[in-house]
Amino acid sequence: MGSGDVLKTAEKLKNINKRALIAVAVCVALIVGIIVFDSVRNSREYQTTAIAMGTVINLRLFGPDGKENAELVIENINETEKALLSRNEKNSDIYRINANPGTAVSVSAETADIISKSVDVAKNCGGVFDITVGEVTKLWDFGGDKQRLPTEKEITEKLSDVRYSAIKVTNTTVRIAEGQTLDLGAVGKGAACDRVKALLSATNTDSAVISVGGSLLLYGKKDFNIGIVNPENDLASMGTLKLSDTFVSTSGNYEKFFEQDGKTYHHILDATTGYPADSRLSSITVICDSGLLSDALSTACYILGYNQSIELLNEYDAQAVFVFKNKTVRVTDGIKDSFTLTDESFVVAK
Amino acid sequence: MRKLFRRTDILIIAGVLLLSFLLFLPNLFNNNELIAQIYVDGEKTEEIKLDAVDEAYTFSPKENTVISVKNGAICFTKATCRDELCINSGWLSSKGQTAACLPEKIVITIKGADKTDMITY
Repeated sequence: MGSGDVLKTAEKLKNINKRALIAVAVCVALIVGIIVFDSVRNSREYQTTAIAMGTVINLRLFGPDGKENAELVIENINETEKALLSRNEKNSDIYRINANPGTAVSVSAETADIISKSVDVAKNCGGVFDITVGEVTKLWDFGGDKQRLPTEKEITEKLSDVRYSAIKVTNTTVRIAEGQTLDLGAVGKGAACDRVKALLSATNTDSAVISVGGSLLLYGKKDFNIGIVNPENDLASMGTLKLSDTFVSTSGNYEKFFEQDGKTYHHILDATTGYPADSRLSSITVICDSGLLSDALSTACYILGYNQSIELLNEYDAQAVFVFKNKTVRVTDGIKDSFTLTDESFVVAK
Repeated sequence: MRKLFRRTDILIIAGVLLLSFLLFLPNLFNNNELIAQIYVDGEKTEEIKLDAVDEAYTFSPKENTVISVKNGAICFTKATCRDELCINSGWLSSKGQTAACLPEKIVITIKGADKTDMITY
Protein backbone atom coordinates (compact mmCIF):
# COMPACT_ATOMS: atom_id res chain seq x y z
CA MET A 1 0.00 0.00 0.00
CA GLY A 2 1.44 3.35 -1.08
CA SER A 3 1.35 6.49 0.95
CA GLY A 4 -1.44 7.84 -1.34
CA ASP A 5 -3.64 4.85 -0.43
CA VAL A 6 -3.08 5.42 3.25
CA LEU A 7 -4.15 9.03 2.88
CA LYS A 8 -7.30 8.01 0.97
CA THR A 9 -8.23 5.45 3.62
CA ALA A 10 -7.67 8.02 6.34
CA GLU A 11 -9.88 10.45 4.45
CA LYS A 12 -12.62 7.81 4.13
CA LEU A 13 -12.39 6.91 7.80
CA LYS A 14 -12.66 10.56 8.67
CA ASN A 15 -15.84 10.86 6.60
CA ILE A 16 -17.33 7.74 8.12
CA ASN A 17 -16.42 8.97 11.57
CA LYS A 18 -18.04 12.29 10.86
CA ARG A 19 -21.25 10.68 9.68
CA ALA A 20 -21.27 8.18 12.50
CA LEU A 21 -20.62 11.00 14.93
CA ILE A 22 -23.61 12.94 13.63
CA ALA A 23 -25.82 9.84 13.79
CA VAL A 24 -24.67 9.05 17.33
CA ALA A 25 -25.14 12.67 18.38
CA VAL A 26 -28.69 12.66 17.02
CA CYS A 27 -29.41 9.40 18.88
CA VAL A 28 -27.97 10.68 22.12
CA ALA A 29 -29.84 13.98 21.81
CA LEU A 30 -33.11 12.18 21.23
CA ILE A 31 -32.65 9.72 24.06
CA VAL A 32 -31.56 12.45 26.47
CA GLY A 33 -34.53 14.50 25.26
CA ILE A 34 -36.94 11.66 25.98
CA ILE A 35 -35.48 11.03 29.44
CA VAL A 36 -35.48 14.72 30.34
CA PHE A 37 -39.00 15.20 29.00
CA ASP A 38 -40.22 12.23 31.01
CA SER A 39 -38.53 13.28 34.23
CA VAL A 40 -39.65 16.90 33.85
CA ARG A 41 -43.18 15.69 33.26
CA ASN A 42 -42.98 13.54 36.38
CA SER A 43 -41.48 16.30 38.48
CA ARG A 44 -44.16 18.69 37.29
CA GLU A 45 -47.00 16.84 38.95
CA TYR A 46 -47.07 14.64 42.02
CA GLN A 47 -50.32 13.09 43.09
CA THR A 48 -51.03 11.11 46.23
CA THR A 49 -53.70 10.24 48.78
CA ALA A 50 -53.54 9.86 52.54
CA ILE A 51 -55.75 9.62 55.58
CA ALA A 52 -55.33 12.31 58.22
CA MET A 53 -57.64 14.23 60.57
CA GLY A 54 -60.03 11.29 60.26
CA THR A 55 -60.64 12.06 56.60
CA VAL A 56 -59.23 11.55 53.12
CA ILE A 57 -56.53 13.93 51.91
CA ASN A 58 -55.99 14.20 48.16
CA LEU A 59 -52.92 16.06 46.97
CA ARG A 60 -51.83 17.25 43.54
CA LEU A 61 -48.64 19.27 43.59
CA PHE A 62 -47.04 20.97 40.60
CA GLY A 63 -43.37 21.91 40.63
CA PRO A 64 -40.14 20.29 41.75
CA ASP A 65 -39.82 17.96 44.76
CA GLY A 66 -43.49 17.00 44.69
CA LYS A 67 -43.06 13.86 46.77
CA GLU A 68 -41.08 15.58 49.53
CA ASN A 69 -43.49 18.51 49.64
CA ALA A 70 -46.52 16.21 49.72
CA GLU A 71 -45.00 14.45 52.74
CA LEU A 72 -44.53 17.81 54.45
CA VAL A 73 -48.18 18.67 53.77
CA ILE A 74 -49.46 15.41 55.27
CA GLU A 75 -47.20 15.84 58.28
CA ASN A 76 -48.50 19.39 58.68
CA ILE A 77 -52.15 18.24 58.61
CA ASN A 78 -51.43 15.54 61.20
CA GLU A 79 -49.78 18.17 63.37
CA THR A 80 -52.82 20.48 63.02
CA GLU A 81 -54.92 17.64 64.36
CA LYS A 82 -52.56 16.51 67.11
CA ALA A 83 -51.36 19.82 68.47
CA LEU A 84 -54.32 22.11 67.82
CA LEU A 85 -57.73 20.74 66.99
CA SER A 86 -58.26 17.16 68.16
CA ARG A 87 -60.99 16.53 70.72
CA ASN A 88 -59.40 13.23 71.76
CA GLU A 89 -55.66 13.89 71.65
CA LYS A 90 -54.68 14.69 75.26
CA ASN A 91 -52.15 17.41 74.47
CA SER A 92 -54.08 19.28 71.80
CA ASP A 93 -55.15 22.85 72.50
CA ILE A 94 -58.85 22.03 72.04
CA TYR A 95 -58.63 19.00 74.34
CA ARG A 96 -57.04 21.12 77.08
CA ILE A 97 -59.60 23.91 76.65
CA ASN A 98 -62.47 21.40 76.87
CA ALA A 99 -60.90 19.66 79.88
CA ASN A 100 -60.61 22.93 81.80
CA PRO A 101 -63.84 24.91 81.49
CA GLY A 102 -63.85 28.12 83.50
CA THR A 103 -60.05 28.41 83.19
CA ALA A 104 -58.04 30.55 80.78
CA VAL A 105 -55.98 27.86 79.03
CA SER A 106 -52.70 28.81 77.30
CA VAL A 107 -52.88 27.88 73.64
CA SER A 108 -50.92 28.54 70.47
CA ALA A 109 -51.58 31.84 68.71
CA GLU A 110 -52.98 29.81 65.80
CA THR A 111 -55.64 28.12 67.93
CA ALA A 112 -56.58 31.45 69.52
CA ASP A 113 -56.95 32.92 66.03
CA ILE A 114 -59.08 29.99 64.80
CA ILE A 115 -61.41 30.32 67.78
CA SER A 116 -61.65 34.08 67.56
CA LYS A 117 -62.55 33.93 63.84
CA SER A 118 -65.10 31.18 64.51
CA VAL A 119 -66.72 33.31 67.21
CA ASP A 120 -66.82 36.21 64.77
CA VAL A 121 -68.74 34.11 62.20
CA ALA A 122 -71.08 32.86 64.97
CA LYS A 123 -71.82 36.48 65.89
CA ASN A 124 -72.52 37.47 62.28
CA CYS A 125 -74.87 34.55 61.58
CA GLY A 126 -76.97 34.91 64.71
CA GLY A 127 -75.50 31.83 66.35
CA VAL A 128 -76.87 29.17 63.98
CA PHE A 129 -73.24 28.16 63.60
CA ASP A 130 -71.57 28.00 67.01
CA ILE A 131 -68.43 26.10 68.02
CA THR A 132 -69.75 25.63 71.59
CA VAL A 133 -72.25 23.11 70.20
CA GLY A 134 -69.95 20.23 71.25
CA GLU A 135 -72.22 18.70 73.91
CA VAL A 136 -75.12 18.56 71.44
CA THR A 137 -73.06 16.96 68.65
CA LYS A 138 -71.92 14.37 71.19
CA LEU A 139 -75.57 13.40 71.76
CA TRP A 140 -76.17 12.77 68.05
CA ASP A 141 -72.70 11.27 67.40
CA PHE A 142 -73.14 11.34 63.62
CA GLY A 143 -71.02 8.67 61.97
CA GLY A 144 -69.89 7.38 65.36
CA ASP A 145 -70.65 4.25 67.36
CA LYS A 146 -73.30 5.95 69.48
CA GLN A 147 -75.21 7.61 66.62
CA ARG A 148 -78.87 8.01 67.63
CA LEU A 149 -81.82 10.37 67.80
CA PRO A 150 -81.56 12.09 71.20
CA THR A 151 -84.67 12.89 73.26
CA GLU A 152 -86.03 16.41 73.24
CA LYS A 153 -85.20 16.75 76.93
CA GLU A 154 -81.55 15.84 76.36
CA ILE A 155 -81.24 18.39 73.58
CA THR A 156 -82.92 21.20 75.55
CA GLU A 157 -80.64 20.47 78.50
CA LYS A 158 -77.40 20.60 76.50
CA LEU A 159 -78.57 23.50 74.36
CA SER A 160 -78.65 25.82 77.37
CA ASP A 161 -74.82 25.81 77.43
CA VAL A 162 -74.41 26.48 73.70
CA ARG A 163 -73.37 30.14 73.72
CA TYR A 164 -70.43 31.50 71.72
CA SER A 165 -70.56 34.74 73.72
CA ALA A 166 -69.31 32.85 76.78
CA ILE A 167 -65.95 32.14 75.09
CA LYS A 168 -63.17 34.47 76.22
CA VAL A 169 -60.23 34.67 73.81
CA THR A 170 -56.95 36.57 74.08
CA ASN A 171 -53.94 36.25 71.77
CA THR A 172 -52.66 33.30 73.76
CA THR A 173 -55.47 32.02 75.97
CA VAL A 174 -58.97 30.63 75.57
CA ARG A 175 -61.59 30.14 78.26
CA ILE A 176 -64.94 28.40 77.87
CA ALA A 177 -67.74 28.34 80.43
CA GLU A 178 -68.63 25.37 82.65
CA GLY A 179 -70.76 22.87 80.77
CA GLN A 180 -69.40 23.92 77.37
CA THR A 181 -67.48 21.79 74.88
CA LEU A 182 -65.86 23.14 71.73
CA ASP A 183 -66.48 21.31 68.48
CA LEU A 184 -64.31 22.56 65.63
CA GLY A 185 -65.64 19.99 63.17
CA ALA A 186 -67.11 22.69 60.96
CA VAL A 187 -63.86 24.69 60.70
CA GLY A 188 -61.06 22.16 61.23
CA LYS A 189 -60.57 21.10 57.63
CA GLY A 190 -60.55 24.70 56.43
CA ALA A 191 -58.14 25.72 59.17
CA ALA A 192 -55.89 22.85 58.08
CA CYS A 193 -56.00 24.23 54.51
CA ASP A 194 -54.87 27.64 55.81
CA ARG A 195 -51.88 26.08 57.54
CA VAL A 196 -50.99 24.09 54.42
CA LYS A 197 -50.99 27.28 52.37
CA ALA A 198 -48.51 28.87 54.78
CA LEU A 199 -46.37 25.74 54.56
CA LEU A 200 -46.40 25.56 50.75
CA SER A 201 -45.39 29.19 50.38
CA ALA A 202 -42.15 28.28 52.16
CA THR A 203 -41.44 25.49 49.62
CA ASN A 204 -40.60 25.47 45.92
CA THR A 205 -44.10 24.30 44.94
CA ASP A 206 -45.43 26.22 41.90
CA SER A 207 -49.08 25.38 42.40
CA ALA A 208 -51.20 22.76 44.09
CA VAL A 209 -54.73 21.64 44.78
CA ILE A 210 -55.26 19.90 48.09
CA SER A 211 -58.46 18.39 49.41
CA VAL A 212 -58.81 17.91 53.15
CA GLY A 213 -61.98 15.82 53.24
CA GLY A 214 -63.58 17.87 50.47
CA SER A 215 -62.44 21.30 51.71
CA LEU A 216 -59.96 22.60 49.18
CA LEU A 217 -56.87 24.76 49.02
CA LEU A 218 -56.05 26.05 45.53
CA TYR A 219 -52.47 27.22 45.73
CA GLY A 220 -50.55 29.26 43.15
CA LYS A 221 -51.50 30.90 39.88
CA LYS A 222 -52.64 27.77 38.05
CA ASP A 223 -56.33 27.62 37.13
CA PHE A 224 -58.04 24.52 38.45
CA ASN A 225 -61.32 22.97 37.40
CA ILE A 226 -63.14 22.22 40.62
CA GLY A 227 -66.08 19.83 40.52
CA ILE A 228 -68.98 20.38 42.92
CA VAL A 229 -70.24 17.01 44.06
CA ASN A 230 -73.70 15.99 42.95
CA PRO A 231 -75.66 15.80 46.22
CA GLU A 232 -77.56 12.82 44.84
CA ASN A 233 -74.51 10.86 43.66
CA ASP A 234 -71.25 11.43 45.49
CA LEU A 235 -69.16 9.90 42.71
CA ALA A 236 -70.17 12.53 40.17
CA SER A 237 -70.10 16.30 39.99
CA MET A 238 -73.00 18.54 38.97
CA GLY A 239 -70.97 21.55 37.93
CA THR A 240 -67.46 22.94 37.76
CA LEU A 241 -65.76 26.12 38.87
CA LYS A 242 -62.61 27.45 37.25
CA LEU A 243 -60.62 29.03 40.06
CA SER A 244 -57.11 29.78 41.26
CA ASP A 245 -55.43 30.83 44.48
CA THR A 246 -58.39 30.50 46.84
CA PHE A 247 -60.22 28.18 49.24
CA VAL A 248 -63.35 26.17 48.54
CA SER A 249 -65.59 24.41 51.03
CA THR A 250 -68.90 22.59 50.70
CA SER A 251 -71.55 21.65 53.24
CA GLY A 252 -74.31 19.23 52.31
CA ASN A 253 -76.99 17.05 53.83
CA TYR A 254 -75.59 13.93 52.11
CA GLU A 255 -72.35 13.69 54.06
CA LYS A 256 -73.36 12.06 57.32
CA PHE A 257 -76.94 11.12 58.10
CA PHE A 258 -79.18 8.37 59.38
CA GLU A 259 -82.80 7.46 58.99
CA GLN A 260 -85.23 6.70 61.78
CA ASP A 261 -88.99 6.15 61.56
CA GLY A 262 -88.99 7.31 57.98
CA LYS A 263 -87.23 10.58 58.76
CA THR A 264 -83.71 11.53 57.67
CA TYR A 265 -81.41 13.26 60.13
CA HIS A 266 -78.31 14.88 58.60
CA HIS A 267 -75.26 16.12 60.47
CA ILE A 268 -75.48 19.89 60.03
CA LEU A 269 -76.95 21.01 63.32
CA ASP A 270 -78.59 24.39 63.79
CA ALA A 271 -76.92 25.47 67.02
CA THR A 272 -79.98 27.49 68.01
CA THR A 273 -82.29 24.43 67.97
CA GLY A 274 -79.93 21.48 68.46
CA TYR A 275 -81.58 19.70 65.51
CA PRO A 276 -80.45 19.20 61.90
CA ALA A 277 -80.97 22.40 59.94
CA ASP A 278 -84.28 22.44 58.13
CA SER A 279 -82.92 23.83 54.88
CA ARG A 280 -84.17 24.02 51.31
CA LEU A 281 -80.59 23.45 50.23
CA SER A 282 -78.97 20.13 49.54
CA SER A 283 -75.55 21.75 49.44
CA ILE A 284 -73.67 25.00 49.38
CA THR A 285 -70.14 25.64 48.17
CA VAL A 286 -68.35 28.73 49.50
CA ILE A 287 -65.28 30.30 47.93
CA CYS A 288 -63.16 32.83 49.82
CA ASP A 289 -59.59 33.75 50.63
CA SER A 290 -59.51 31.91 53.96
CA GLY A 291 -59.90 28.18 54.45
CA LEU A 292 -61.36 28.56 57.91
CA LEU A 293 -63.90 31.14 56.75
CA SER A 294 -64.96 29.18 53.66
CA ASP A 295 -65.53 26.18 55.92
CA ALA A 296 -67.40 28.08 58.65
CA LEU A 297 -69.46 30.06 56.11
CA SER A 298 -70.52 26.95 54.19
CA THR A 299 -71.98 25.52 57.41
CA ALA A 300 -73.56 28.82 58.50
CA CYS A 301 -75.04 29.52 55.05
CA TYR A 302 -76.39 25.99 54.71
CA ILE A 303 -78.37 26.58 57.91
CA LEU A 304 -79.40 30.15 57.05
CA GLY A 305 -80.63 29.35 53.54
CA TYR A 306 -80.22 31.46 50.42
CA ASN A 307 -81.78 34.82 51.30
CA GLN A 308 -80.05 35.32 54.64
CA SER A 309 -76.73 33.97 53.35
CA ILE A 310 -76.15 36.72 50.81
CA GLU A 311 -75.55 39.37 53.46
CA LEU A 312 -73.22 37.11 55.43
CA LEU A 313 -71.25 36.23 52.30
CA ASN A 314 -70.90 39.93 51.43
CA GLU A 315 -69.61 40.62 54.92
CA TYR A 316 -66.66 38.28 54.25
CA ASP A 317 -66.28 39.04 50.54
CA ALA A 318 -67.12 35.40 49.79
CA GLN A 319 -68.85 33.79 46.80
CA ALA A 320 -71.09 30.74 46.71
CA VAL A 321 -72.91 28.13 44.67
CA PHE A 322 -76.26 27.11 46.21
CA VAL A 323 -77.75 23.77 45.20
CA PHE A 324 -81.40 23.49 46.20
CA LYS A 325 -83.26 20.26 46.94
CA ASN A 326 -85.48 20.94 43.91
CA LYS A 327 -82.30 20.86 41.78
CA THR A 328 -82.19 24.61 41.11
CA VAL A 329 -78.76 26.18 41.33
CA ARG A 330 -77.93 29.75 42.28
CA VAL A 331 -74.48 31.25 41.76
CA THR A 332 -73.39 34.57 43.29
CA ASP A 333 -72.38 37.32 40.86
CA GLY A 334 -68.63 37.22 41.57
CA ILE A 335 -68.21 33.68 40.21
CA LYS A 336 -71.00 33.52 37.61
CA ASP A 337 -68.47 33.37 34.77
CA SER A 338 -66.35 30.65 36.32
CA PHE A 339 -69.25 28.26 36.93
CA THR A 340 -70.30 25.66 34.35
CA LEU A 341 -73.22 23.31 34.85
CA THR A 342 -72.24 19.79 33.80
CA ASP A 343 -75.29 17.80 34.91
CA GLU A 344 -78.29 18.85 32.86
CA SER A 345 -80.76 17.50 35.42
CA PHE A 346 -79.97 20.66 37.44
CA VAL A 347 -81.17 24.11 36.39
CA VAL A 348 -79.34 27.38 36.98
CA ALA A 349 -81.76 30.07 38.19
CA LYS A 350 -81.48 33.37 36.37
CA MET B 1 -19.38 18.57 -2.98
CA ARG B 2 -20.08 15.71 -0.60
CA LYS B 3 -23.55 15.36 0.80
CA LEU B 4 -23.79 15.77 4.55
CA PHE B 5 -26.14 12.81 4.85
CA ARG B 6 -26.23 9.68 2.81
CA ARG B 7 -29.23 7.47 2.37
CA THR B 8 -28.00 5.14 5.14
CA ASP B 9 -27.68 8.08 7.53
CA ILE B 10 -31.21 9.17 6.83
CA LEU B 11 -32.37 5.61 7.41
CA ILE B 12 -30.53 5.51 10.74
CA ILE B 13 -32.02 8.83 11.82
CA ALA B 14 -35.51 7.74 10.74
CA GLY B 15 -34.99 4.49 12.67
CA VAL B 16 -33.98 6.41 15.80
CA LEU B 17 -36.99 8.73 15.48
CA LEU B 18 -39.30 5.74 15.08
CA LEU B 19 -37.71 4.00 18.05
CA SER B 20 -38.06 7.07 20.23
CA PHE B 21 -41.70 7.43 19.16
CA LEU B 22 -42.31 3.78 20.03
CA LEU B 23 -40.68 4.31 23.43
CA PHE B 24 -42.93 7.28 24.05
CA LEU B 25 -46.09 5.55 22.83
CA PRO B 26 -46.98 3.81 26.12
CA ASN B 27 -46.99 7.23 27.82
CA LEU B 28 -49.64 8.43 25.42
CA PHE B 29 -51.81 5.41 26.02
CA ASN B 30 -51.27 5.55 29.77
CA ASN B 31 -53.31 8.73 29.85
CA ASN B 32 -56.42 6.82 28.94
CA GLU B 33 -55.84 3.86 31.21
CA LEU B 34 -57.95 3.40 34.32
CA ILE B 35 -55.52 2.67 37.11
CA ALA B 36 -56.81 2.03 40.62
CA GLN B 37 -54.36 2.71 43.42
CA ILE B 38 -54.82 1.13 46.84
CA TYR B 39 -53.29 2.89 49.83
CA VAL B 40 -53.07 1.02 53.14
CA ASP B 41 -51.87 2.96 56.21
CA GLY B 42 -50.52 5.70 53.96
CA GLU B 43 -48.50 3.39 51.71
CA LYS B 44 -49.41 2.58 48.14
CA THR B 45 -49.73 -1.21 48.19
CA GLU B 46 -51.28 -1.96 44.87
CA GLU B 47 -51.92 -0.62 41.37
CA ILE B 48 -54.55 -2.34 39.27
CA LYS B 49 -55.13 -1.70 35.58
CA LEU B 50 -58.91 -1.88 35.65
CA ASP B 51 -59.28 -2.15 31.88
CA ALA B 52 -57.06 -5.19 31.85
CA VAL B 53 -59.15 -7.14 34.37
CA ASP B 54 -60.75 -10.08 32.55
CA GLU B 55 -62.31 -11.98 35.40
CA ALA B 56 -63.78 -10.35 38.46
CA TYR B 57 -61.99 -11.11 41.72
CA THR B 58 -61.76 -10.00 45.33
CA PHE B 59 -58.88 -9.43 47.72
CA SER B 60 -58.36 -8.42 51.34
CA PRO B 61 -55.85 -5.65 51.99
CA LYS B 62 -56.58 -6.13 55.69
CA GLU B 63 -58.51 -8.59 57.80
CA ASN B 64 -62.29 -8.14 57.47
CA THR B 65 -61.94 -5.73 54.56
CA VAL B 66 -62.71 -6.92 51.07
CA ILE B 67 -62.20 -5.08 47.80
CA SER B 68 -63.87 -6.33 44.63
CA VAL B 69 -62.44 -5.75 41.19
CA LYS B 70 -64.09 -6.20 37.82
CA ASN B 71 -63.40 -4.95 34.34
CA GLY B 72 -63.30 -1.15 34.49
CA ALA B 73 -64.43 -0.82 38.11
CA ILE B 74 -63.45 -1.40 41.73
CA CYS B 75 -65.22 -1.13 45.10
CA PHE B 76 -65.21 -1.99 48.76
CA THR B 77 -67.54 -4.94 49.45
CA LYS B 78 -66.78 -5.65 53.10
CA ALA B 79 -65.70 -3.28 55.84
CA THR B 80 -65.44 -3.11 59.59
CA CYS B 81 -67.01 0.30 60.11
CA ARG B 82 -70.59 0.62 61.26
CA ASP B 83 -71.81 3.14 58.73
CA GLU B 84 -70.10 1.32 55.82
CA LEU B 85 -69.55 4.63 54.05
CA CYS B 86 -66.86 3.07 51.92
CA ILE B 87 -69.23 0.41 50.62
CA ASN B 88 -71.95 2.96 49.98
CA SER B 89 -69.53 4.79 47.70
CA GLY B 90 -70.26 2.01 45.20
CA TRP B 91 -68.24 1.05 42.16
CA LEU B 92 -65.51 3.51 41.20
CA SER B 93 -65.07 3.69 37.46
CA SER B 94 -63.87 7.17 36.50
CA LYS B 95 -60.63 9.04 37.01
CA GLY B 96 -60.35 10.99 40.24
CA GLN B 97 -62.95 8.95 42.13
CA THR B 98 -62.03 7.96 45.67
CA ALA B 99 -63.50 5.70 48.33
CA ALA B 100 -62.02 5.34 51.78
CA CYS B 101 -62.37 3.07 54.76
CA LEU B 102 -61.34 5.50 57.50
CA PRO B 103 -61.12 3.10 60.49
CA GLU B 104 -58.83 0.74 58.57
CA LYS B 105 -57.01 3.57 56.80
CA ILE B 106 -57.55 2.11 53.35
CA VAL B 107 -58.10 4.34 50.32
CA ILE B 108 -58.96 3.35 46.78
CA THR B 109 -58.45 6.07 44.24
CA ILE B 110 -58.54 6.06 40.48
CA LYS B 111 -55.46 7.76 39.17
CA GLY B 112 -55.66 10.94 37.19
CA ALA B 113 -58.38 13.44 36.63
CA ASP B 114 -61.05 13.66 34.02
CA LYS B 115 -62.72 17.00 33.51
CA THR B 116 -62.07 18.19 37.03
CA ASP B 117 -58.83 18.60 38.93
CA MET B 118 -60.47 18.00 42.31
CA ILE B 119 -63.95 17.64 43.77
CA THR B 120 -65.35 19.61 46.69
CA TYR B 121 -67.89 17.78 48.84
